Amino acid sequence: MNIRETLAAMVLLVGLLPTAALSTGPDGLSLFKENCVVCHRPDGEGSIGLPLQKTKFKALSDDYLRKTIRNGRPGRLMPAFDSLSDSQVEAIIAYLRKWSGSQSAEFPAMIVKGDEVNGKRLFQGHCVNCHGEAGNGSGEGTGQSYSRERDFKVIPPAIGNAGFLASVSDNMLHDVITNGRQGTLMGAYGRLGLSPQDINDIIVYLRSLPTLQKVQEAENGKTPEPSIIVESPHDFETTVKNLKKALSGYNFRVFPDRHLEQGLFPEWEVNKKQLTVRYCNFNHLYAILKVEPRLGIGLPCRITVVENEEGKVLLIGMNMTLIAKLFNNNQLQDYAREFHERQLDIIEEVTF
Amino acid sequence: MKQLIYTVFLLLFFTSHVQAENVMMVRTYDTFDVTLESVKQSLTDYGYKVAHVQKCDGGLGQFGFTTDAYRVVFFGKPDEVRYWSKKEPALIPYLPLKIAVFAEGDQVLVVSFNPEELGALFADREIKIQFSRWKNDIKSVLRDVSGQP
Repeated sequence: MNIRETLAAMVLLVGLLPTAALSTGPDGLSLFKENCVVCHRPDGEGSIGLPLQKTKFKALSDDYLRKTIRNGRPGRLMPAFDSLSDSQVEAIIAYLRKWSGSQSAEFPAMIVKGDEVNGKRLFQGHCVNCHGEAGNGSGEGTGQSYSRERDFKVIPPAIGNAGFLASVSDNMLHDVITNGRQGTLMGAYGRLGLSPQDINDIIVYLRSLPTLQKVQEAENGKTPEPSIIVESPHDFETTVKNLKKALSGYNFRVFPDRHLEQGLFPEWEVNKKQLTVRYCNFNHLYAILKVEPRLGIGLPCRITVVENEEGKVLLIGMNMTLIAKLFNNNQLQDYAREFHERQLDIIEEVTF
Repeated sequence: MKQLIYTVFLLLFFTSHVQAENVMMVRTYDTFDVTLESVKQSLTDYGYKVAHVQKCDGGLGQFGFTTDAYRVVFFGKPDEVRYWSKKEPALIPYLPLKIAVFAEGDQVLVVSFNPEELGALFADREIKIQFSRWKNDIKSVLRDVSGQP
């Protein structure tokens, strides 16, 4: 084969590749494994994401699934999968249909009318215990926990969440409230005393909620500093001593000293003027892990005392509000704000 | 030619940033100990040194809390940690880098920040490139650990 023929063959091959890919289409199972399994588990048992019970799917429309994948759940861990193509999203839905042995539930498009005031009253009487005030979700965290004790084995969904409300149609909501959710704690309120109009009222109330996400998204708009850096007026040793004292005063357990470079360089080469003071309050830690089990990547809490080449002593800590922002977890953000304030107080005490 | 390379670089960087996840995570079906060892081995294979492993479950257990195995692996390339801690003190809280490994029943989750997300907060182009490299390496480690092709 001469050069011209080889080139022609290559051009033909490259031209054929996309055709071959198009003819088979995206693989739903692979996409499910790649994007969903890490949070929902391969069998759909649920993890930090809600369980995907097979029985649940027959009551869900493809439109709801499509919008759920696209919108995610702002502030409730599930990201918006906006980098997936339409055909990839459809392939995931097709796989879920096959896996659950279900077909798309059809709900006629309709906007229900009702009494918001009565809806609020009914919501607070029947829904708040599981779905939280304003539908923000009750209980600690999301999905289900395998080792940490929480109020619910499976955390009920936040039905006031902007992502949920943008995904669900009024008629689907009506159906869920009327018939409940098989295999979950959600009862069939159509048989538990609520009339169709009562259910409409609840839907109207839900649609009227000022979503918490909007407030938090506005806060998220501000770009936080990655770290807190404060210069100490004291020398290195005094700063470390004061820091440990202040941490104990705030009920933190202080771990043994660890230099930033420790474990990376031989002991004699380690910079001894970069000391990381690690601390923890295990009650707080457990509470936070219930809300966000992945938080380990921000642990342990630590403030590093550094004496730089100019002789300045600095206290440097992680900005937990920034870390919380990365997790798409509103509950964690509440803890992070509190923690951040406490960390600033401690540093102020040290540098006073 | 230089301009073309620069354009391609920008394109690649921008594309990967747009598609970036904030938290990178994989699930494994090996035992916890096997997964932890696999994380450490893979980090070593990519030229990183494991500085230490924090036993979060140990402390929680001592205080009477129920939790599955939970460890945090601290790792870095010694010269990079030294260089960046000196050049950009704001990076110190994020150094050495970390991967959390925690059991969830019979499965294990392996999690890390996407360093590129932090890199986006810094104007310095050198930091962005460094964070991008860390992201690619961590992604490779997670891929290896999960057994994905």
